[in-house]
Amino acid sequence: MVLDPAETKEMVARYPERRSVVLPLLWRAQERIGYISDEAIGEVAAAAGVPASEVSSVVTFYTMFRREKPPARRLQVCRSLSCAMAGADELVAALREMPGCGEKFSVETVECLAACDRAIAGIYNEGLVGPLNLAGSAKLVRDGGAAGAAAPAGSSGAGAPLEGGGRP
Amino acid sequence: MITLTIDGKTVSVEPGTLLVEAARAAGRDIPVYCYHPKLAPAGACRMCLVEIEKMPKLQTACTTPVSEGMAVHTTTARVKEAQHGVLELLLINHPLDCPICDKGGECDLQDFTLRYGPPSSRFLDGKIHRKKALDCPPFLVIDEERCILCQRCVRYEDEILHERNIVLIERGSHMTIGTEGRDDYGGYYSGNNTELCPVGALTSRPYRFKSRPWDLKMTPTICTQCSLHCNVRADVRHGDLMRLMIHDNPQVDGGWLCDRGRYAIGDAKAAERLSHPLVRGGEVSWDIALAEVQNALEAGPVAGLGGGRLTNEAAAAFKQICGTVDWRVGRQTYARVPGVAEATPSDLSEADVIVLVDTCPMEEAPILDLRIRHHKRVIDVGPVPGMRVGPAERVVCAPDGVAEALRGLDLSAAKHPVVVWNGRGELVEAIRALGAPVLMVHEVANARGAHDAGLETEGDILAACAEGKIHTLWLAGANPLRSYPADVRAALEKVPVLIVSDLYPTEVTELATIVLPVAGPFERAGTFTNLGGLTQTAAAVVAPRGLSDERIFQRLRPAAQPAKDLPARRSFQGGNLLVRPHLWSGGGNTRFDRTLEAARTALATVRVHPSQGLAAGTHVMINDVHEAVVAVDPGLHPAVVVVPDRTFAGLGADARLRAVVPA
Amino acid sequence: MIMRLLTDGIGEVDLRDIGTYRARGGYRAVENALRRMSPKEVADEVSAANLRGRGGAGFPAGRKWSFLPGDGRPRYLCVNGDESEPGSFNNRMLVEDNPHLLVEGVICSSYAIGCSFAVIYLRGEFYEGAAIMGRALEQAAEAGYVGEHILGSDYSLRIVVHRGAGAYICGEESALLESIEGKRGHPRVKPPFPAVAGLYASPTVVNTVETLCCVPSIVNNGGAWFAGIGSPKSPGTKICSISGHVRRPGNYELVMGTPLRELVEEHAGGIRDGHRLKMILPAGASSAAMTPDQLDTPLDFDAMAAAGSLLGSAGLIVCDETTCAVKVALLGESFYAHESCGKCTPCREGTKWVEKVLARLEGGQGRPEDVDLLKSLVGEIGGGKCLCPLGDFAVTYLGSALKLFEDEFVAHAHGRTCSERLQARPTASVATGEVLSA
Repeated sequence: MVLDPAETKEMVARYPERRSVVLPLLWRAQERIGYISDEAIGEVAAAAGVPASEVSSVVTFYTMFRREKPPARRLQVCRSLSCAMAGADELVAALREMPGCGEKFSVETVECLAACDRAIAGIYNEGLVGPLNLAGSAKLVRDGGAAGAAAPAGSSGAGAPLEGGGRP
Repeated sequence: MITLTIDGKTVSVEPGTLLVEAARAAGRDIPVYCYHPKLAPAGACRMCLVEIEKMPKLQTACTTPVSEGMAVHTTTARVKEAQHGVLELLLINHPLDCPICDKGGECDLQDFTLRYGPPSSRFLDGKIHRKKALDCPPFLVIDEERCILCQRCVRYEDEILHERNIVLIERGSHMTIGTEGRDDYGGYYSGNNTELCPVGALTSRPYRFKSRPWDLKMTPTICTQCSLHCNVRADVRHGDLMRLMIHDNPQVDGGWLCDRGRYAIGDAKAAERLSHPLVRGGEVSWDIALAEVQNALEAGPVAGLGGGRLTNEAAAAFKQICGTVDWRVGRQTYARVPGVAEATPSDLSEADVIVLVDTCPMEEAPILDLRIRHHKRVIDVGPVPGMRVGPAERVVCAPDGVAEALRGLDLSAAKHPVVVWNGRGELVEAIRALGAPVLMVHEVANARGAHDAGLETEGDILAACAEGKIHTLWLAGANPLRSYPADVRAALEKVPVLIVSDLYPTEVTELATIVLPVAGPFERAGTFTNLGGLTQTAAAVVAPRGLSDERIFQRLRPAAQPAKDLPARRSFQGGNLLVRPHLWSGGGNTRFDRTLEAARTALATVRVHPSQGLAAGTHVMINDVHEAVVAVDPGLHPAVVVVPDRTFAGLGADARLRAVVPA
Repeated sequence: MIMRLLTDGIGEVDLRDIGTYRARGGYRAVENALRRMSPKEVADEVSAANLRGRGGAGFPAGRKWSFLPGDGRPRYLCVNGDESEPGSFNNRMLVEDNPHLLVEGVICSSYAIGCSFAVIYLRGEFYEGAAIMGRALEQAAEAGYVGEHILGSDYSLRIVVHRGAGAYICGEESALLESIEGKRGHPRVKPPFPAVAGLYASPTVVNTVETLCCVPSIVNNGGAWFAGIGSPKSPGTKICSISGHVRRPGNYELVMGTPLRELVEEHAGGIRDGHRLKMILPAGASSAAMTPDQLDTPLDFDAMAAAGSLLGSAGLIVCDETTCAVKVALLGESFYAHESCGKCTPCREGTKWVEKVLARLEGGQGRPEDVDLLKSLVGEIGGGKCLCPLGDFAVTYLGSALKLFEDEFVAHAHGRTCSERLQARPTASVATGEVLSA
């Protein structure tokens, strides 16, 4: 049993139609065990009232759902325009040269994270990070936790005074 | 009516008509891949872009409804350029393996490229390679490279089947079709995908590398695997039946076929077929055999069993020859409900409430189920769920509680209720009380025709055999040792002369005095009457092996002494072991069909309620004789055990189940 | 000109706390709407405000709402928070830093259209945004702004946060609805439009985060007041996200019609030292490039369209002269090829083909005929031939770049590369350490 039946029931009840609970329950399963297992797919399908093959199909559509357990430390680096212009490809290449890449930690590329003001932006496990540099990112994937150069992105209130209307 | 012009030609069509259909009415062909008249428009392939005056962009003809005064152009330079573009894009990753593709010659990608395509490709960047010849048992073969992702199959699975055996996997340029999370197809209707597929991405294992379409002689006929009689097109190459194709009859099949109907066509080539008449085990000529038959017909009381698989003409002749005949050699007792209106398949589409009376259309007449599983209100009454796909209001009752459960239904608010029943058990009064038209689903293909031909008796012929009252018993396409709800071997052994006319050597041909090999389906012409009372003609498309039943009866004189004063019919109600139709085990001789072996499991499945405490996959012995494997079905009445029909000979209602440790 | 209508207080106080938000006048619009206005009056004010959709198309929200048929079916409001266009990051700021403004906008708008179930769809990568939004909804419910009988009225509203899971296409409104229904995010055939058959085939309004965040101030101050701000045909403010080779990338809320030059040169601090502007992609990767001679274009929907590009969601990517126009095309096309849902042929097959050709060009493997091939493929994919706008988006920049910077494409097509241009770091960006010398 991957999902908590009581919680599943409560989540189903949030929506006017049952099958809307597919994505929320897949997220819940991934939060609980780190990935979407076959068992999880069966449970989601049963809760949402759709065939398991349909849930599997949905899982393959969305890039954030994983069918395998990821390493403990997982850095996803944005490779879209502003971050690429800031050297994302080189950063990723350098990190992938590090020993332990693929086993102890993973470095993946993702498309735009809507954090172009922090290029190079990334997601470390489940938190937005950036601007990333090599030293900080290397420390992050090697040792985990928030590193100096890879400041976790949080509220803009933590930043410098606003120049105009928004986030510096 | 809406009037518009297409390429200058004026055409009037119903409001809501899509441009692609309006163009057909105007005699213009607009090429389509994703569009299919039985599926909701998808606008996916972009092959049908047309130019509409006053609209700046090209529009898809498959998604655009007509409007008054619309001026549509299908052959302008812009349209041609767009068609070039789509075809060039569809072909960049296509393997171009047309020489070995089963679809060659009837492929829309070939045909449209010829008519609308660019002369050459500018693509030089390396094709994406994907899985080819991927087996999708029992019958499908998937070629991911040939797939143009028109999504007809996945839409069919969703909109028509509600099953989703084939789904989209991944997205963008990585997208493919396939069975996700399993290797096999998992349903009864896979073959329609091979016809929906406009290219060679979904082909069938049985037809693989068999023929080119231009070598095929195509003849419309009907399928007689079940009592629905779906219309088919029989494709014959050099005298051999190669395949069956959809031949849409909206009143009957709605343009779909089930896999048993489509693939169980091996009789004409089957090695096991009876080849010569046999008298007491010895091969004889037809003249000698028929002379022996004539003698037997004149030697004492005569009765016939079967006839539900014969043509209407042969059934009438059977009745004429034997006098006392009953088509009912299985569990079905009624072919009609006296005094109640008969419903047709089309009525299901109009109905506001459908009541399934202890009947599972998916197993008994699969294409009929496609009209039911969509339905917004189905009341499913009985100890075994009749509705396998789609929502239903389930009324669970004990095997002997169906009549009472029906009495609890109130259909007075329904405007067009339809009752679906398979004629088993003593439910006529309870069904009549519902006051709704009844659609019968029959155990054998032409039960309705046999009923009309008068092939029913008051009494019980097999009981008469057991009492020694019958001298000559003729089994015409009937095998009570597999279909009758009790062991009747002793009764058959007591008959002085047993005549069996059939296609294959069976348990009863072993007991027979005289065996007559008869022509099989697709080998003989005649009419059949379906479950809705519609009489249609079956064509002979291949040479017969043996005489047709009708021809045999024509060469005989009627029996001198038809059996009389038969004992009363027995009732087989009671007991918790229920023998229920199952697609792969039904259909008379389909157990001899090699093609269907792919769909059958080594061991039959028995279904039990979870409260029985047997885990799914457990092996069990039935009556300490038959081994089977357990499936758990929470929809069952807790006490019942369901076994497939025609799988275990002579299984009575008192059968016992015992769990065993698998070897 | 800076005008902080939606961003007021961000960076100064913690607006995620409902107490702080209310102390600054928050939730007054809910009280005004529910206590003093009929739903129609709220909708009328939004119509009068001429509030145009901030998601990109600029369609007036009031008109969108007016399309809902009154046939007794339930109505739904879906908030498009799937912000994924490369270069755009203003919705994330609103969700993370001013969540109650969005909740307030959703309540007022739901009330106006007669909806009792609203969905805030946030892209899956907004882990923190989803948590913040969830907490804001809890606070709003505790304060009686969400739930049964809001503020003692007859009006009840349920709001759920629904997370995407990594699919740009779900920003397309019909794909977003599919995603809320638990399906793959494939755009639907239109018509029917969501207003007629949207979520669960019921009448549905889909508005983007920033659009709905404008509603509370319209309710409080009146539509006429809003309509008087900025460009007459594109009134209000727009939060512009600016990134790339500028000194101060970030979000700047400007009065509609503010010249592009003011944003780039004043607020974003101009191009990094020692470099000069080459081009701007004003609506992220999907927009036609604009050149330095167009810097005086006012930032509003119509002026940007007249200039041959679009305002879109105002995610401006600024490139200096070191930027290779071919590489930018490749990065953009890789994005669209990755994000193509696969439903329709030109987008699925075409974006991948264009990506392959551009990768070859960029990698020095170009062929002379590639430039014409690319021009032709822009036509095969673009011009409204695809099911949804993604196909057009995927070739808009490319089409513009093939005109503006054809010489660069020709040079690449003859085997020359200039990838070194992109490896120069913008100095305004935080130092990237060793990568610089890598």
